[in-house]
Amino acid sequence: MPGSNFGRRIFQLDSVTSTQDILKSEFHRGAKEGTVAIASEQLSGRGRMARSWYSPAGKGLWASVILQPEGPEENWTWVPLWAGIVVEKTLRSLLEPGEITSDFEIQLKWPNDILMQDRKLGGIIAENVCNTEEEQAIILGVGLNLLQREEDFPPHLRARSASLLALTGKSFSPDYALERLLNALEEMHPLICPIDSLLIGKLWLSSAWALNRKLRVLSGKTSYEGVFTGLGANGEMALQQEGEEPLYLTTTEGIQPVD
Amino acid sequence: MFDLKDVRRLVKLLENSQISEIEISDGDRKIRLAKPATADGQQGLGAVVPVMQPVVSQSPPTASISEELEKPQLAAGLNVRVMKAPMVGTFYTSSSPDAEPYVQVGDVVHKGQVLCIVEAMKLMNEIESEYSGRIMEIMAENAQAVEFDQELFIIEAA
Repeated sequence: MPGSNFGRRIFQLDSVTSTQDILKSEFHRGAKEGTVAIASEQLSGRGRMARSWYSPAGKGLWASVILQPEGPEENWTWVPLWAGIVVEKTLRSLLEPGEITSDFEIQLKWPNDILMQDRKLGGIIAENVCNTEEEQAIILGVGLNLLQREEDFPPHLRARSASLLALTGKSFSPDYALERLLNALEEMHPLICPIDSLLIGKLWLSSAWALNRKLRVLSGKTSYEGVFTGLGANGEMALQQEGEEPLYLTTTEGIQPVD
Repeated sequence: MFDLKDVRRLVKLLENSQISEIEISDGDRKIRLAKPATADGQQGLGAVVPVMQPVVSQSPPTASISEELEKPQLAAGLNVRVMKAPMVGTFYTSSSPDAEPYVQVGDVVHKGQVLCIVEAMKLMNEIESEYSGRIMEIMAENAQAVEFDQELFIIEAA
């Protein structure tokens, strides 16, 4: 893409531990915003810290990108939510508008999952890092299940995960999906330069999974029950417990609807 | 109440530091640990003597380990620094479940070195040391929630 910032430098890799690790070292060596790493296979792809991200060879988009958002660092907690909007946009640009019926609605599950039919199609990881030049960046990782068949998923993931192929019957190559992702990053980039938390919040909520539903949320080993009413000032999950002040959760180990 | 694990941690803390004595009260229990006197004439009791006895009188206010540390620190001229959590989130000692921890007790670290990760809203924040020195104690447990300003590391500054 001429004139485009994202993907000006792409590390195309075969099999790696994690594209996050590759880009982190590149950032320490001076790589700038827009630098991308894509791998055919990740041997220890990361999801949330204690969990791994299953990324088999050639079956999905396993990529990372360096971001250098503008604005105070306390607003950077909005970047993972912004990334969810970017991945949603990527998926929308892959599918024909007519194909995104209510059956195939793309939903964003707080804080970082991309769902279709209540199954996990993709995920996001964001790492806030600093190099020796005191420059700061977010290494954003995107995992998108494209071509797995149902039986390709390990049994423990089968009920909760799915690929675009398994759900919609459409095949897209990882390279093509990357091209669409880079376009979406470019298009949505103004929202983080500087970070526009109001607009990010508004867009994110318009695709939010389980908004206004009663949920049981495990956070910091404590279980909370309440209605998911929106986002807090830093992108927290706002949970309205009966007869109490709203709770603002910054992390979760599990979310279940109770209605 | 003190369990053996806590006492062991305190003994280790004392051994690895230049502090000569630690005394902590918790409700009706009190513990005092002291090191032998050193050549430079520091006060000591001649041996590591754990004292555990119920205090019958009015219990003194409960003090945390770090508060107690600050007093002997002044006395011994020790340069103890506390790294606190810059945000609410989940504390991680390593970059991934199968990776080595960033630091362990006893490690010498330099200013700017990554000590841990605090995750908030899926953003993994690398927390860098504000001091150069040696890790005396890791105050938070891996994968546990931490509050803003919660003490994470005690560092004996170089």
